Amino acid sequence: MELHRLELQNFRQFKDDTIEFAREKAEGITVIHGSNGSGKTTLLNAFTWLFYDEVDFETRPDRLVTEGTIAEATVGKQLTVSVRLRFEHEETEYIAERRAIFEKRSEDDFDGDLIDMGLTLEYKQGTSWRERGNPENSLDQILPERLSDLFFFDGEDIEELAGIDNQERIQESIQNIMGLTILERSTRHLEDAAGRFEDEVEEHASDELAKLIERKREIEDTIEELDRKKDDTERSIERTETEIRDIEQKLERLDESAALQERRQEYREDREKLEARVEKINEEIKAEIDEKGFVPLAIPLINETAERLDEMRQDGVIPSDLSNSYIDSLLEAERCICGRPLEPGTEYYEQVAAMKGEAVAEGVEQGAVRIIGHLNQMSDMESAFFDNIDEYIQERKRLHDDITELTEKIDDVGSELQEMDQKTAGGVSVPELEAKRESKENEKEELIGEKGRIEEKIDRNEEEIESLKEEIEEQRDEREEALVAKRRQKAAELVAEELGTAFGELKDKVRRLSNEKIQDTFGSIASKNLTAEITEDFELKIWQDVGGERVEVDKSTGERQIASLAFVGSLVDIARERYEADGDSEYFTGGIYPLVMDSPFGALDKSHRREVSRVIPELANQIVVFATDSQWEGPVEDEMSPKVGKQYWLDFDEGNDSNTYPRTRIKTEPVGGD
Amino acid sequence: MSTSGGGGPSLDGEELEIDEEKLRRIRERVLQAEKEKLHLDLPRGVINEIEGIVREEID
Repeated sequence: MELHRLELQNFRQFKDDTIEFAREKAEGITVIHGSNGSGKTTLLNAFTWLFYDEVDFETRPDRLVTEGTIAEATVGKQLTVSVRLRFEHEETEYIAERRAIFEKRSEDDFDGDLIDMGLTLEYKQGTSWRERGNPENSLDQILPERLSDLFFFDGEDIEELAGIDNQERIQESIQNIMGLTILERSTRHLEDAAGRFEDEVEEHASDELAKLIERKREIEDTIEELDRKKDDTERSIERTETEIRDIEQKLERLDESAALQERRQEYREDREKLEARVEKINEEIKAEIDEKGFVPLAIPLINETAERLDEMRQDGVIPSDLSNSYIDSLLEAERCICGRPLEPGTEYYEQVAAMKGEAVAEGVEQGAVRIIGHLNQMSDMESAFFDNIDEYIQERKRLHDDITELTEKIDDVGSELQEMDQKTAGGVSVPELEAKRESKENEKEELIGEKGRIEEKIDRNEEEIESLKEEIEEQRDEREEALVAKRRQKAAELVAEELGTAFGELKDKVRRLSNEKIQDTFGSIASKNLTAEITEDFELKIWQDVGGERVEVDKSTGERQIASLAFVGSLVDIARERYEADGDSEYFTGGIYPLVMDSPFGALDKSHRREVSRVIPELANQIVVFATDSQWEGPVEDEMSPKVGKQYWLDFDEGNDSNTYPRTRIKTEPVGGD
Repeated sequence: MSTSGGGGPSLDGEELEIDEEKLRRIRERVLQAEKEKLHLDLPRGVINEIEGIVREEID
């Protein structure tokens, strides 16, 4: 999507104004300078109103019509508010326009009554313009509302920008921007279609088959219900954890309890480390059993085999008599095992006779001795195996003892806290806080247990579904209708599975690309010891290197704001790269997106402003920045001005109460200062 | 693939086997339908359309 021209008519303080956006790749930045209150945020709202009928005004949210226009109108007059945007998307030119008609109801009516509102979307085909039948939907496809604040964003809410704590949102943003939505939808819709064919199978099926299908569906419903319960439980766990953290923060802030709370935290961290070691030992025990666990089980048989072989060797059964006597028997019979006659004196007779001898015997005998040796080594392996396992178990026991000791210490801290007198500003005492914390801890434990039980149920139900599916497949049904429906169901399922796999693989590829890009972008802005990451679960995390250890950075820091910016910039950049490149997949198409940013640098400190201003223009082809002079001047201007293609100044006149009204004019020359 | 115990061929055997070419055609047509719905005026009814595609291809 490339923005061309925005026209405003009677929209808040803009009576009749136009902005042409910079579109040259090397000079793709449009700067709109304006002091506070001059209408920068109104311009951002003009986009969201046009696209989604959404506005977010702090003052007089119901007043859309320009105050001067409605004040000067006579009662009963109808006034038109409109925002019109000309843009290009995937090589098609569009004009979107939202118009609202307001009627002035009385002399002192400055809001007007909304009479009518409509949205139109025209697209150019050849030389003529045509209208889209469903403009809301078409616009939502071009720039989905869910993602709109990634592209039209307010610097004040910069932390919320990337939905930084919302992995679902991050995942959705990525796949949507990258053009993977078609695959995701196709998979989902094919599964729905397969469900319809299953209905048909059921309709035409024998009683037995119908029962199996019905049972399968019941279990599918149960799983759905259990999934919902699991989600609810997970949310409750998160909520309880937040409550516990809040209580602990209160304890940390009180003089009396601060040291104890801190100590408890240290004990807990120590305990977690010990628990991690126990976990590792369990894994090592498992690996040892997987690798050598067969030895103790096999040892009686192995010993018996070794003894028997040795006896045979000592008795001379292995090897010489066995092989020589066999050759003798062939020579006596004068016939080889291949059927050829072996007459004494012939070449063949001599060849077979030559196979007798000590070389063969020795080779076989050595082999037997080696095998016996190997088998005897198994006994050594058996004792080494038991020694190793014993060692692991001893170590694990020591760790368990240490864990118990730490748990006791943690409990002691709890008891000590119960005896303190200090109260919070709100009048809650330390013992009360501690009691509440404990009850929340218990609640959390119960919830975790509940979640485990739900997961077990889900697993059991899923196993049953699998076996039912097999039974359904195996059911013989002679009715033609059922057979055809079954084939159709199977076809829909197979294609859904294939597309689902492709979607999963591409999604992961996109995640890896996004991760690499955000690491680069964030790395070039933030301090050296910080890294940003999009995890496999699509969580955006920022890590700090503290003495060689990676620690996650807390919320509400400048770094998270930069990470948000880097995230959006990275997505826009990857989408652009994919759009411009000859892709290896027709489904991972990417796209071109602009960034429209209101005061994006306001929340950043000076050094970060410079870095962000340097990096962001490299990521998007087209950028629209709204800024006050103080936000613009200095590092931002230094970095961005070579890439600025268009500049506008918002000339705000607040008017006086009697005959002039607040109005902003968009000018191409500088007006008064900040 | 297994066979049913009760005599005669089972449906999941040869009778349920679906030609690769047919699957490819379904896949292409479904993706095309989704693509059209993604950008155009009629976003609804795509499941009906997919159902129709499968009906036509598996007859």
